[in-house]
Amino acid sequence: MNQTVVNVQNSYPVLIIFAVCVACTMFLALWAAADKGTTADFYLGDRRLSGARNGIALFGAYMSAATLLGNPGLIALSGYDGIPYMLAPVVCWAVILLLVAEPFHRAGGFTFGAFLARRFRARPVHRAAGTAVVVVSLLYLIAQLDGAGALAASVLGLTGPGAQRALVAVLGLLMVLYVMVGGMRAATLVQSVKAVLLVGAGIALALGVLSRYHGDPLAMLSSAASSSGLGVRFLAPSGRGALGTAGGLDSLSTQLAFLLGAAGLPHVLTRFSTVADARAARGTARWATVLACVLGLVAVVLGFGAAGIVGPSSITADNPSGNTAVLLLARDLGGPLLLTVIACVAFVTILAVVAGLTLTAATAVAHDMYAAVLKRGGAQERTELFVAQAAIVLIGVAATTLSLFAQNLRISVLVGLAFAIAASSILPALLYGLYWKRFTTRGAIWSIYGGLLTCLSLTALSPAVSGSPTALLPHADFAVFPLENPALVTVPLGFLLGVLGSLLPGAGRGGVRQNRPFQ
Amino acid sequence: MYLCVAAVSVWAGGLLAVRVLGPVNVGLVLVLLQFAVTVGVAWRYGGSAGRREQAVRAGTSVSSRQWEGRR
Repeated sequence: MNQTVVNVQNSYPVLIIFAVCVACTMFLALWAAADKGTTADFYLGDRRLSGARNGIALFGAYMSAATLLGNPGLIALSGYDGIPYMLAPVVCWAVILLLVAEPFHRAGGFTFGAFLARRFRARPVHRAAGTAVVVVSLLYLIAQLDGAGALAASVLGLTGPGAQRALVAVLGLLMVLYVMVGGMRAATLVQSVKAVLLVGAGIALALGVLSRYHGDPLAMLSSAASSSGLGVRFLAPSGRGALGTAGGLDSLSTQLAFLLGAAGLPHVLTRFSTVADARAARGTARWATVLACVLGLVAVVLGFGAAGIVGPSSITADNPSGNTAVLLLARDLGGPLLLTVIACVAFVTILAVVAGLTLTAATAVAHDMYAAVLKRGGAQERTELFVAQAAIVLIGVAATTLSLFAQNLRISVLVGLAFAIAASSILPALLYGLYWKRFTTRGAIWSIYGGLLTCLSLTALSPAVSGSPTALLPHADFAVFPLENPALVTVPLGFLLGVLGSLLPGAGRGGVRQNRPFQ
Repeated sequence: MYLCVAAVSVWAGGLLAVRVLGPVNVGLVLVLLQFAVTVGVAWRYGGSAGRREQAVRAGTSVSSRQWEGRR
């Protein structure tokens, strides 16, 4: 049974608020519209953002609706077991700040492929990097669009797969329009506004929860524990994890993907190229870290607050995976108005993330695949810009169409796979390229394609695709790999392939253009 | 630290269930500690890298002045 948090009779005011919200963000995109004369401006904006502003935008680009809705829902239903899934996107910022932010900025380039091409043979690394970036972006886009469709349908009181599909299509169209109109400048503005809204709304809700318990977080925890029916065991690890079907090992694999994958997400990497100097790049990661920590703490309070105030049974009755826990909590604390406001914040959150992803994927197609591979670096700027805009439409249509067919696949599986590919395919080449002198073109290609293909094939052979009632193909069974998330195997493999490709006989210098890392 | 806590919670969850204050247990304390460590690392790294960069710049300008003086 899948009830909705708002009745159909109440959906017209909600629809109007949603429409106003969409109109406001579209106005922002038009206001910030890029000077489309140069590709650099379209891909990266004016590159004069301060560290603080870019950090806020990066936080907006990275934090998806999963942080506001999914993670508190997991905590509300699983207690302590849900916390690591929220903690990984926070702790990963230390990895990004220490290892990636500043050196990646210093290396320069529009894309991950352009970064590798400064050191290695241009065409093969552009081709490999462009492929990995497009696959990661598409998977993450499909997950976000599916999540947005389910969220909007739930809030608007619409039921049935037809309504969800229509909403996914509308969101896909909006996403294409935003990025086509304004490029990186519009994406930055929407991401910044979303970041402020997300943190503001989260803090307001968390304060509302704490005020219910007279400002006593211990009372909130006790209430959550007693509502769960498990007592204090709700606040301790069960050893099974909150998501996995293969128990603790699957949980560990998913956490590894989230921890390391963030540092390899292409739309996060692009953000370090939108600032003028290394100081601003450090400031970017610093601000994003602090905001992520604030939102992480807020998510914990909202999760335990939802368990205590709404109760796990009511949450499960509304949505078995707990994605509407925060919406139910908002309704309990502030009525339909607060519920609608939080839903609008979640909607803008999704829009900001998909805008960044679409732009990054289109940049990879135009800059890596078209200009570097097809035209061998000899593309005219106007033609490349036209290809980038055509790629936005193409990627938007592809992501929307695929997400209509992927509605049976769990969103957590898609997100986990995108992070696993980023950690197994992009991150090894990125870190070796930054820090290892003996890394070669062959090593880069082996690690990128090796990580990508093993992630995709192991997921195809996992219980997420067949052999279980919740799988994409529940009636088929070819699940020979036990983990839903392959990161535990593929991350070490990606790093190993980079070493083997660089050191095995026959690698030579592998077409190395400059024999030093970007340090 | 994050992966250690994740591994302990999978294979030795009992350690994290030990109660510290009211309903708060070792696991929840470690969660809070990880937030604090992440913010601490971010702030310290940002500050120290900035000072290092300034020192490098100052060193470069001193050596270039000395070089100009010798000429």
